[in-house]
Amino acid sequence: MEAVTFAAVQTQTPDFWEYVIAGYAFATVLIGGFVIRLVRRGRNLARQVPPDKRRWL
Amino acid sequence: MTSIDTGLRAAPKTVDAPTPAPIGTGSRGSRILGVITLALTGLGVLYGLVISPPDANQSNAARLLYIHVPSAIVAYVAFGVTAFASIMVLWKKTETWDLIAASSAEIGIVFTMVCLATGMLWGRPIWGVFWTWDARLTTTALLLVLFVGYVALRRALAGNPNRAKWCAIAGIFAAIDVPIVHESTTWWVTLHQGQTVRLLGESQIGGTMLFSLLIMMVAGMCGYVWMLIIRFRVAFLAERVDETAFDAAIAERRSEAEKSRAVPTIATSEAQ
Amino acid sequence: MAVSGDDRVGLDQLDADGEPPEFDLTPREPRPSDSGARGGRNRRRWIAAVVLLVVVAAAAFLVTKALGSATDYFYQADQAVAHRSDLGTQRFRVQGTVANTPSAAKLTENSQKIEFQLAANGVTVPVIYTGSDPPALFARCEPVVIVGHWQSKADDAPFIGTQIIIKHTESYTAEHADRMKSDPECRVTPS
Repeated sequence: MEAVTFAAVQTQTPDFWEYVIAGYAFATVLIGGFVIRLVRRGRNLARQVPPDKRRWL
Repeated sequence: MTSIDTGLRAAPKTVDAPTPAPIGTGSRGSRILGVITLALTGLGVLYGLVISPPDANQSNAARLLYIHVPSAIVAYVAFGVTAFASIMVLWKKTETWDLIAASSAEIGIVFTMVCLATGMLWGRPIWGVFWTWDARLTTTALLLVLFVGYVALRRALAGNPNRAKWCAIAGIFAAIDVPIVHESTTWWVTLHQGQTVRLLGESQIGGTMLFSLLIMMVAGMCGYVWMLIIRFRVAFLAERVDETAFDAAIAERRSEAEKSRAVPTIATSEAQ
Repeated sequence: MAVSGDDRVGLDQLDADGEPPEFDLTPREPRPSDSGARGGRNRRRWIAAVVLLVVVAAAAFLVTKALGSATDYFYQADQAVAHRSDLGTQRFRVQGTVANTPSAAKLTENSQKIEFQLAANGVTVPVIYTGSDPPALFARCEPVVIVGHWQSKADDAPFIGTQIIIKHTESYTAEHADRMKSDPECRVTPS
Protein backbone atom coordinates (compact mmCIF):
# COMPACT_ATOMS: atom_id res chain seq x y z
CA MET A 1 0.00 0.00 0.00
CA GLU A 2 3.03 2.27 -0.36
CA ALA A 3 1.49 3.93 -3.37
CA VAL A 4 -1.35 5.49 -1.43
CA THR A 5 0.17 8.73 -0.27
CA PHE A 6 -0.91 12.24 0.67
CA ALA A 7 -1.75 12.90 -2.94
CA ALA A 8 -4.73 10.59 -2.62
CA VAL A 9 -6.01 12.63 0.30
CA GLN A 10 -5.38 15.92 -1.46
CA THR A 11 -7.16 15.28 -4.74
CA GLN A 12 -10.56 14.79 -3.17
CA THR A 13 -10.66 18.11 -1.29
CA PRO A 14 -14.39 18.89 -0.98
CA ASP A 15 -15.85 22.33 -1.61
CA PHE A 16 -17.35 22.64 1.92
CA TRP A 17 -20.50 24.37 0.66
CA GLU A 18 -22.70 22.61 3.25
CA TYR A 19 -20.76 24.22 6.10
CA VAL A 20 -20.89 27.64 4.45
CA ILE A 21 -24.66 27.45 3.91
CA ALA A 22 -25.19 26.19 7.46
CA GLY A 23 -23.14 29.09 8.83
CA TYR A 24 -24.95 31.77 6.82
CA ALA A 25 -28.32 30.19 7.65
CA PHE A 26 -27.54 30.08 11.37
CA ALA A 27 -26.50 33.75 11.39
CA THR A 28 -29.65 34.74 9.47
CA VAL A 29 -31.99 32.80 11.75
CA LEU A 30 -30.38 33.98 14.99
CA ILE A 31 -29.96 37.66 14.13
CA GLY A 32 -33.23 37.76 12.17
CA GLY A 33 -35.13 36.11 15.00
CA PHE A 34 -33.65 38.54 17.50
CA VAL A 35 -34.60 41.54 15.35
CA ILE A 36 -38.16 40.32 14.67
CA ARG A 37 -38.77 39.64 18.36
CA LEU A 38 -37.37 43.05 19.21
CA VAL A 39 -39.60 44.92 16.76
CA ARG A 40 -42.70 42.99 17.87
CA ARG A 41 -41.96 43.61 21.53
CA GLY A 42 -41.44 47.29 20.79
CA ARG A 43 -44.82 47.54 19.06
CA ASN A 44 -46.53 45.76 21.91
CA LEU A 45 -44.92 48.01 24.53
CA ALA A 46 -45.43 51.25 22.59
CA ARG A 47 -49.18 50.63 22.73
CA GLN A 48 -49.09 50.38 26.53
CA VAL A 49 -47.15 53.57 27.19
CA PRO A 50 -49.00 56.91 27.17
CA PRO A 51 -47.60 59.42 24.65
CA ASP A 52 -46.37 61.87 27.27
CA LYS A 53 -44.04 59.21 28.69
CA ARG A 54 -42.68 58.18 25.32
CA ARG A 55 -39.45 60.16 25.34
CA TRP A 56 -36.44 58.05 24.45
CA LEU A 57 -33.47 59.83 25.96
CA MET B 1 -24.62 58.21 21.29
CA THR B 2 -25.93 61.16 19.34
CA SER B 3 -27.19 58.87 16.61
CA ILE B 4 -29.72 57.41 19.03
CA ASP B 5 -31.25 60.82 19.39
CA THR B 6 -32.07 61.56 15.75
CA GLY B 7 -35.64 62.72 15.28
CA LEU B 8 -37.29 60.75 18.01
CA ARG B 9 -39.13 63.36 20.01
CA ALA B 10 -42.71 62.26 20.43
CA ALA B 11 -43.68 64.75 23.08
CA PRO B 12 -47.30 65.87 22.60
CA LYS B 13 -48.23 69.56 22.51
CA THR B 14 -51.04 69.13 24.97
CA VAL B 15 -52.09 66.21 27.08
CA ASP B 16 -55.73 66.46 26.01
CA ALA B 17 -55.18 66.42 22.25
CA PRO B 18 -54.40 62.77 21.47
CA THR B 19 -51.22 62.54 19.41
CA PRO B 20 -51.15 59.70 16.89
CA ALA B 21 -49.51 56.83 18.73
CA PRO B 22 -46.31 55.54 17.11
CA ILE B 23 -46.74 51.98 15.87
CA GLY B 24 -43.48 50.83 17.37
CA THR B 25 -39.94 51.84 18.20
CA GLY B 26 -38.96 53.06 14.75
CA SER B 27 -38.06 56.61 13.89
CA ARG B 28 -36.87 58.31 10.73
CA GLY B 29 -33.26 57.96 11.81
CA SER B 30 -33.50 54.31 12.73
CA ARG B 31 -35.40 53.46 9.54
CA ILE B 32 -32.73 55.06 7.34
CA LEU B 33 -30.03 53.18 9.25
CA GLY B 34 -32.04 49.97 8.92
CA VAL B 35 -32.27 50.33 5.15
CA ILE B 36 -28.52 51.05 4.92
CA THR B 37 -27.78 47.98 7.04
CA LEU B 38 -29.98 45.73 4.90
CA ALA B 39 -28.44 47.05 1.67
CA LEU B 40 -24.88 46.60 2.97
CA THR B 41 -25.65 43.10 4.29
CA GLY B 42 -27.19 42.14 0.94
CA LEU B 43 -24.12 43.42 -0.89
CA GLY B 44 -21.85 41.72 1.63
CA VAL B 45 -23.57 38.36 1.24
CA LEU B 46 -23.44 38.71 -2.56
CA TYR B 47 -19.70 39.37 -2.34
CA GLY B 48 -19.16 36.74 0.34
CA LEU B 49 -21.01 33.90 -1.36
CA VAL B 50 -20.75 34.71 -5.08
CA ILE B 51 -18.24 37.35 -6.15
CA SER B 52 -15.29 36.60 -3.86
CA PRO B 53 -13.14 33.67 -4.99
CA PRO B 54 -12.74 30.45 -3.00
CA ASP B 55 -9.53 30.27 -0.97
CA ALA B 56 -6.57 28.40 -2.45
CA ASN B 57 -6.34 26.14 0.56
CA GLN B 58 -9.74 26.20 2.28
CA SER B 59 -11.95 26.38 -0.79
CA ASN B 60 -15.41 27.83 0.06
CA ALA B 61 -14.97 27.41 3.82
CA ALA B 62 -13.14 30.76 3.69
CA ARG B 63 -16.52 32.39 3.03
CA LEU B 64 -17.42 31.83 6.69
CA LEU B 65 -14.75 34.40 7.52
CA TYR B 66 -17.04 37.17 6.24
CA ILE B 67 -19.51 36.46 9.04
CA HIS B 68 -17.14 35.13 11.69
CA VAL B 69 -14.77 38.10 11.91
CA PRO B 70 -17.38 40.91 11.70
CA SER B 71 -19.54 39.20 14.33
CA ALA B 72 -16.51 38.93 16.62
CA ILE B 73 -15.76 42.63 16.15
CA VAL B 74 -19.40 43.60 16.81
CA ALA B 75 -19.39 41.46 19.96
CA TYR B 76 -16.20 43.16 21.19
CA VAL B 77 -17.70 46.60 20.54
CA ALA B 78 -21.04 45.66 22.13
CA PHE B 79 -19.40 44.39 25.32
CA GLY B 80 -17.07 47.40 25.28
CA VAL B 81 -20.13 49.68 25.17
CA THR B 82 -21.63 47.70 28.06
CA ALA B 83 -18.46 48.27 30.08
CA PHE B 84 -18.39 51.99 29.25
CA ALA B 85 -22.09 52.42 30.03
CA SER B 86 -21.60 50.47 33.28
CA ILE B 87 -18.86 52.90 34.33
CA MET B 88 -21.24 55.75 33.53
CA VAL B 89 -23.92 54.06 35.66
CA LEU B 90 -21.58 54.07 38.66
CA TRP B 91 -20.57 57.64 37.98
CA LYS B 92 -23.77 59.37 36.81
CA LYS B 93 -26.29 56.92 38.28
CA THR B 94 -28.78 57.45 35.43
CA GLU B 95 -31.33 55.01 34.07
CA THR B 96 -30.27 55.76 30.48
CA TRP B 97 -26.75 54.34 30.92
CA ASP B 98 -28.13 51.31 32.77
CA LEU B 99 -30.47 50.52 29.89
CA ILE B 100 -27.73 51.10 27.28
CA ALA B 101 -25.46 48.67 29.17
CA ALA B 102 -28.17 46.01 29.30
CA SER B 103 -29.23 46.50 25.67
CA SER B 104 -25.69 46.32 24.32
CA ALA B 105 -24.88 43.17 26.34
CA GLU B 106 -27.84 41.34 24.83
CA ILE B 107 -26.75 42.22 21.28
CA GLY B 108 -23.21 41.17 22.15
CA ILE B 109 -24.49 37.75 23.21
CA VAL B 110 -26.26 37.27 19.87
CA PHE B 111 -23.12 38.14 17.91
CA THR B 112 -20.88 36.01 20.13
CA MET B 113 -23.18 33.07 19.40
CA VAL B 114 -22.94 33.77 15.66
CA CYS B 115 -19.17 34.04 15.97
CA LEU B 116 -18.89 30.73 17.83
CA ALA B 117 -21.27 28.90 15.48
CA THR B 118 -19.57 30.07 12.28
CA GLY B 119 -16.20 29.34 13.87
CA MET B 120 -17.25 25.78 14.67
CA LEU B 121 -18.67 25.27 11.18
CA TRP B 122 -15.35 26.46 9.78
CA GLY B 123 -13.31 24.40 12.23
CA ARG B 124 -14.94 21.07 11.35
CA PRO B 125 -13.85 20.99 7.68
CA ILE B 126 -10.56 22.88 8.08
CA TRP B 127 -9.14 21.85 11.46
CA GLY B 128 -10.98 18.57 11.56
CA VAL B 129 -12.77 19.38 14.84
CA PHE B 130 -15.79 21.50 15.76
CA TRP B 131 -14.28 22.47 19.07
CA THR B 132 -11.00 22.30 20.93
CA TRP B 133 -9.99 23.79 24.27
CA ASP B 134 -7.36 26.25 23.12
CA ALA B 135 -7.04 29.67 24.75
CA ARG B 136 -8.99 31.62 22.09
CA LEU B 137 -11.95 29.24 22.06
CA THR B 138 -12.01 28.79 25.84
CA THR B 139 -11.90 32.53 26.60
CA THR B 140 -14.60 33.20 23.97
CA ALA B 141 -16.88 30.56 25.51
CA LEU B 142 -16.17 32.21 28.87
CA LEU B 143 -17.13 35.60 27.40
CA LEU B 144 -20.50 34.23 26.31
CA VAL B 145 -21.13 32.60 29.68
CA LEU B 146 -20.15 35.75 31.59
CA PHE B 147 -22.60 37.93 29.68
CA VAL B 148 -25.39 35.36 29.86
CA GLY B 149 -24.72 35.55 33.59
CA TYR B 150 -24.93 39.34 33.43
CA VAL B 151 -28.37 39.18 31.81
CA ALA B 152 -29.49 36.50 34.31
CA LEU B 153 -28.31 38.74 37.15
CA ARG B 154 -30.43 41.61 35.81
CA ARG B 155 -33.49 39.37 35.77
CA ALA B 156 -32.75 37.93 39.20
CA LEU B 157 -32.42 41.42 40.69
CA ALA B 158 -35.60 42.76 39.02
CA GLY B 159 -37.26 45.21 41.40
CA ASN B 160 -34.15 45.56 43.55
CA PRO B 161 -33.31 49.27 44.04
CA ASN B 162 -29.57 48.51 43.79
CA ARG B 163 -29.86 46.50 40.59
CA ALA B 164 -28.20 49.12 38.37
CA LYS B 165 -25.15 49.31 40.65
CA TRP B 166 -24.63 45.57 41.02
CA CYS B 167 -25.16 44.93 37.31
CA ALA B 168 -22.74 47.72 36.42
CA ILE B 169 -20.05 46.05 38.53
CA ALA B 170 -20.84 42.68 36.91
CA GLY B 171 -20.76 44.26 33.43
CA ILE B 172 -17.35 45.81 33.96
CA PHE B 173 -16.02 42.55 35.41
CA ALA B 174 -17.33 40.48 32.49
CA ALA B 175 -15.89 42.88 29.90
CA ILE B 176 -12.36 42.32 31.25
CA ASP B 177 -12.46 39.11 29.19
CA VAL B 178 -12.76 41.07 25.91
CA PRO B 179 -9.08 42.14 25.70
CA ILE B 180 -8.08 38.67 26.96
CA VAL B 181 -9.99 37.04 24.08
CA HIS B 182 -8.44 39.44 21.61
CA GLU B 183 -4.87 38.92 22.81
CA SER B 184 -5.22 35.19 23.50
CA THR B 185 -3.63 34.18 20.19
CA THR B 186 -0.51 36.21 20.94
CA TRP B 187 -0.23 35.52 24.68
CA TRP B 188 -0.53 31.76 24.38
CA VAL B 189 -0.02 29.09 21.76
CA THR B 190 -3.40 28.39 20.21
CA LEU B 191 -4.86 26.29 17.44
CA HIS B 192 -6.76 29.39 16.37
CA GLN B 193 -4.80 31.49 13.89
CA GLY B 194 -3.68 35.02 14.63
CA GLN B 195 -5.16 38.19 13.21
CA THR B 196 -5.84 38.18 9.48
CA VAL B 197 -6.70 41.87 9.15
CA ARG B 198 -4.33 44.25 10.83
CA LEU B 199 -4.72 47.96 11.28
CA LEU B 200 -0.94 48.20 11.60
CA GLY B 201 1.22 46.14 9.30
CA GLU B 202 0.40 43.85 6.45
CA SER B 203 -2.96 42.08 6.36
CA GLN B 204 -2.98 38.41 5.42
CA ILE B 205 -5.81 38.90 2.96
CA GLY B 206 -6.29 41.07 -0.08
CA GLY B 207 -8.32 42.04 -3.12
CA THR B 208 -11.95 40.97 -3.37
CA MET B 209 -11.72 38.83 -0.23
CA LEU B 210 -10.62 41.81 1.86
CA PHE B 211 -13.32 43.99 0.26
CA SER B 212 -16.03 41.41 1.08
CA LEU B 213 -14.82 41.29 4.66
CA LEU B 214 -14.80 45.08 4.99
CA ILE B 215 -18.36 45.39 3.63
CA MET B 216 -19.58 42.86 6.18
CA MET B 217 -17.72 44.67 8.96
CA VAL B 218 -19.42 47.98 8.08
CA ALA B 219 -22.79 46.21 7.72
CA GLY B 220 -22.26 44.54 11.10
CA MET B 221 -21.48 47.85 12.80
CA CYS B 222 -24.51 49.57 11.21
CA GLY B 223 -26.64 46.62 12.31
CA TYR B 224 -25.25 46.89 15.82
CA VAL B 225 -26.07 50.60 16.11
CA TRP B 226 -29.58 49.95 14.75
CA MET B 227 -30.17 47.10 17.19
CA LEU B 228 -28.84 49.18 20.08
CA ILE B 229 -31.24 52.02 19.25
CA ILE B 230 -34.25 49.71 19.02
CA ARG B 231 -33.23 47.55 21.99
CA PHE B 232 -32.72 50.67 24.08
CA ARG B 233 -36.17 52.00 23.18
CA VAL B 234 -37.75 48.65 24.01
CA ALA B 235 -35.97 48.63 27.37
CA PHE B 236 -37.05 52.22 27.98
CA LEU B 237 -40.68 51.40 27.15
CA ALA B 238 -40.57 48.29 29.36
CA GLU B 239 -39.41 50.47 32.27
CA ARG B 240 -42.26 52.92 31.62
CA VAL B 241 -44.77 50.05 31.44
CA ASP B 242 -43.47 48.75 34.76
CA GLU B 243 -43.52 52.20 36.28
CA THR B 244 -46.99 53.08 35.02
CA ALA B 245 -48.49 49.64 35.63
CA PHE B 246 -50.21 50.98 38.73
CA ASP B 247 -51.45 54.19 37.09
CA ALA B 248 -52.66 52.20 34.10
CA ALA B 249 -54.53 49.76 36.33
CA ILE B 250 -56.25 52.66 38.09
CA ALA B 251 -57.21 54.22 34.77
CA GLU B 252 -58.56 50.91 33.58
CA ARG B 253 -60.73 50.47 36.65
CA ARG B 254 -61.93 54.01 36.27
CA SER B 255 -63.07 53.36 32.73
CA GLU B 256 -64.79 50.18 33.89
CA ALA B 257 -66.64 52.20 36.47
CA GLU B 258 -67.66 54.65 33.73
CA LYS B 259 -69.09 51.78 31.74
CA SER B 260 -70.91 50.35 34.72
CA ARG B 261 -72.48 53.75 35.21
CA ALA B 262 -73.86 53.55 31.69
CA VAL B 263 -75.14 50.03 32.35
CA PRO B 264 -75.66 49.96 36.12
CA THR B 265 -76.75 46.32 36.24
CA ILE B 266 -73.22 45.05 35.52
CA ALA B 267 -71.71 44.23 38.88
CA THR B 268 -67.96 43.92 39.43
CA SER B 269 -68.17 40.59 41.22
CA GLU B 270 -67.32 38.61 38.08
CA ALA B 271 -64.04 40.49 37.79
CA GLN B 272 -62.89 39.12 41.12
CA MET C 1 -67.89 57.45 52.53
CA ALA C 2 -67.83 53.72 52.98
CA VAL C 3 -68.85 51.54 50.09
CA SER C 4 -69.29 47.92 50.96
CA GLY C 5 -69.76 44.83 48.83
CA ASP C 6 -73.08 44.56 47.04
CA ASP C 7 -74.46 47.71 48.57
CA ARG C 8 -72.94 49.95 45.87
CA VAL C 9 -73.68 53.59 45.60
CA GLY C 10 -74.17 55.30 42.27
CA LEU C 11 -71.22 57.29 40.94
CA ASP C 12 -73.34 60.41 40.42
CA GLN C 13 -73.93 60.51 44.09
CA LEU C 14 -70.20 60.30 44.88
CA ASP C 15 -69.29 63.05 42.44
CA ALA C 16 -71.94 65.25 43.95
CA ASP C 17 -70.36 64.77 47.35
CA GLY C 18 -66.99 65.89 45.96
CA GLU C 19 -65.37 62.56 46.84
CA PRO C 20 -62.93 60.91 44.45
CA PRO C 21 -64.65 58.57 42.05
CA GLU C 22 -65.06 55.14 43.51
CA PHE C 23 -64.33 52.06 41.47
CA ASP C 24 -63.31 48.49 41.92
CA LEU C 25 -59.85 48.34 43.49
CA THR C 26 -59.69 44.64 44.32
CA PRO C 27 -56.44 43.02 43.14
CA ARG C 28 -56.69 40.77 40.10
CA GLU C 29 -54.50 38.13 38.53
CA PRO C 30 -52.28 39.77 35.92
CA ARG C 31 -52.94 38.74 32.36
CA PRO C 32 -50.13 36.79 30.75
CA SER C 33 -49.78 39.50 28.08
CA ASP C 34 -48.73 42.05 30.68
CA SER C 35 -44.99 41.99 30.16
CA GLY C 36 -43.14 43.17 33.23
CA ALA C 37 -46.22 42.85 35.38
CA ARG C 38 -45.75 42.09 39.05
CA GLY C 39 -47.25 38.59 38.94
CA GLY C 40 -44.90 36.59 36.67
CA ARG C 41 -41.92 38.44 38.00
CA ASN C 42 -41.31 36.31 41.07
CA ARG C 43 -41.21 33.08 39.11
CA ARG C 44 -38.98 34.63 36.46
CA ARG C 45 -36.67 35.89 39.15
CA TRP C 46 -36.29 32.38 40.49
CA ILE C 47 -35.55 30.98 37.04
CA ALA C 48 -33.01 33.75 36.54
CA ALA C 49 -31.36 32.91 39.87
CA VAL C 50 -31.03 29.25 38.85
CA VAL C 51 -29.62 30.28 35.46
CA LEU C 52 -27.18 32.53 37.28
CA LEU C 53 -26.01 29.64 39.43
CA VAL C 54 -25.48 27.41 36.39
CA VAL C 55 -23.63 30.23 34.67
CA VAL C 56 -21.31 30.77 37.63
CA ALA C 57 -20.50 27.05 37.63
CA ALA C 58 -19.84 27.11 33.88
CA ALA C 59 -17.64 30.19 34.25
CA ALA C 60 -15.64 28.50 37.01
CA PHE C 61 -15.19 25.44 34.78
CA LEU C 62 -14.02 27.56 31.86
CA VAL C 63 -11.59 29.55 33.99
CA THR C 64 -10.04 26.28 35.24
CA LYS C 65 -9.86 25.14 31.65
CA ALA C 66 -8.24 28.41 30.57
CA LEU C 67 -5.69 28.36 33.35
CA GLY C 68 -4.99 24.70 32.73
CA SER C 69 -4.57 23.09 29.35
CA ALA C 70 -5.69 25.98 27.18
CA THR C 71 -2.70 28.20 27.93
CA ASP C 72 -0.20 25.58 26.76
CA TYR C 73 -2.24 24.05 24.00
CA PHE C 74 0.66 22.30 22.26
CA TYR C 75 4.39 21.69 22.30
CA GLN C 76 6.29 22.25 19.11
CA ALA C 77 8.06 19.15 17.83
CA ASP C 78 11.47 20.33 19.10
CA GLN C 79 10.03 21.15 22.55
CA ALA C 80 8.37 17.74 22.66
CA VAL C 81 11.75 16.14 22.02
CA ALA C 82 13.43 18.32 24.65
CA HIS C 83 10.80 17.39 27.26
CA ARG C 84 10.70 13.74 26.26
CA SER C 85 11.77 12.42 29.67
CA ASP C 86 9.28 14.61 31.58
CA LEU C 87 6.42 13.81 29.23
CA GLY C 88 6.89 10.04 29.39
CA THR C 89 3.94 8.37 27.74
CA GLN C 90 1.29 10.87 28.85
CA ARG C 91 -1.05 12.42 26.30
CA PHE C 92 -0.27 15.84 24.89
CA ARG C 93 -0.44 17.78 21.64
CA VAL C 94 2.53 18.29 19.36
CA GLN C 95 2.70 20.86 16.59
CA GLY C 96 4.84 20.91 13.49
CA THR C 97 4.87 20.82 9.73
CA VAL C 98 4.37 17.56 7.89
CA ALA C 99 7.73 16.99 6.24
CA ASN C 100 7.90 16.97 2.47
CA THR C 101 9.22 13.46 2.11
CA PRO C 102 8.15 10.99 -0.55
CA SER C 103 6.11 8.00 0.60
CA ALA C 104 5.89 9.41 4.07
CA ALA C 105 2.38 8.06 4.39
CA LYS C 106 1.23 4.52 4.34
CA LEU C 107 -2.30 3.34 4.54
CA THR C 108 -2.87 -0.23 5.55
CA GLU C 109 -5.96 -2.00 4.35
CA ASN C 110 -7.49 -2.77 7.72
CA SER C 111 -7.05 0.51 9.58
CA GLN C 112 -5.97 4.04 8.87
CA LYS C 113 -2.30 4.04 9.62
CA ILE C 114 -0.20 6.92 8.39
CA GLU C 115 3.47 7.32 9.05
CA PHE C 116 5.09 10.68 8.51
CA GLN C 117 7.73 13.04 9.81
CA LEU C 118 6.74 16.10 11.82
CA ALA C 119 9.22 18.98 11.75
CA ALA C 120 9.58 22.15 13.82
CA ASN C 121 12.58 24.43 14.28
CA GLY C 122 14.88 21.94 12.56
CA VAL C 123 13.88 18.97 14.71
CA THR C 124 12.04 16.05 13.13
CA VAL C 125 9.78 13.61 14.95
CA PRO C 126 8.55 10.33 13.44
CA VAL C 127 4.78 10.01 13.85
CA ILE C 128 2.66 6.91 13.57
CA TYR C 129 -0.99 7.85 13.27
CA THR C 130 -3.81 5.37 13.73
CA GLY C 131 -7.40 6.49 13.71
CA SER C 132 -10.18 7.77 11.53
CA ASP C 133 -9.66 9.62 8.25
CA PRO C 134 -7.47 12.70 8.73
CA PRO C 135 -8.98 16.12 7.88
CA ALA C 136 -9.31 16.88 4.16
CA LEU C 137 -6.53 19.45 4.30
CA PHE C 138 -3.99 17.01 5.75
CA ALA C 139 -1.05 17.02 3.36
CA ARG C 140 2.69 17.38 3.10
CA CYS C 141 4.01 20.78 4.17
CA GLU C 142 0.81 21.47 6.10
CA PRO C 143 1.20 22.68 9.69
CA VAL C 144 -0.63 20.26 11.97
CA VAL C 145 -1.29 19.49 15.62
CA ILE C 146 -1.15 15.81 16.55
CA VAL C 147 -2.83 14.52 19.70
CA GLY C 148 -1.10 11.48 21.15
CA HIS C 149 1.90 10.34 23.20
CA TRP C 150 5.49 9.14 22.96
CA GLN C 151 5.63 5.40 22.45
CA SER C 152 8.33 5.16 25.13
CA LYS C 153 11.01 7.26 26.79
CA ALA C 154 13.62 5.97 24.34
CA ASP C 155 15.36 8.64 22.26
CA ASP C 156 14.27 7.09 18.95
CA ALA C 157 10.69 6.30 20.02
CA PRO C 158 8.04 7.54 17.60
CA PHE C 159 5.07 9.69 18.54
CA ILE C 160 1.84 7.71 18.52
CA GLY C 161 -0.88 9.96 17.15
CA THR C 162 -4.59 9.38 17.73
CA GLN C 163 -5.97 12.61 16.27
CA ILE C 164 -4.82 14.98 13.55
CA ILE C 165 -5.89 18.63 13.69
CA ILE C 166 -4.87 21.10 11.00
CA LYS C 167 -3.15 24.22 12.29
CA HIS C 168 -4.36 26.75 9.79
CA THR C 169 -2.52 29.99 9.18
CA GLU C 170 -4.19 33.39 9.16
CA SER C 171 -3.46 34.04 5.48
CA TYR C 172 -6.22 33.95 2.90
CA THR C 173 -5.31 33.88 -0.76
CA ALA C 174 -7.28 33.44 -3.93
CA GLU C 175 -4.38 32.27 -6.10
CA HIS C 176 -3.42 28.66 -6.20
CA ALA C 177 0.09 29.54 -5.14
CA ASP C 178 2.12 26.81 -3.51
CA ARG C 179 2.61 28.90 -0.43
CA MET C 180 2.95 25.81 1.74
CA LYS C 181 5.86 24.60 -0.32
CA SER C 182 7.78 27.73 0.60
CA ASP C 183 7.64 26.75 4.26
CA PRO C 184 11.27 26.26 5.35
CA GLU C 185 10.29 23.21 7.42
CA CYS C 186 9.33 21.48 4.22
CA ARG C 187 12.95 21.27 3.18
CA VAL C 188 13.86 19.29 6.27
CA THR C 189 15.06 15.84 5.45
CA PRO C 190 14.20 13.30 8.10
CA SER C 191 17.08 11.74 9.95
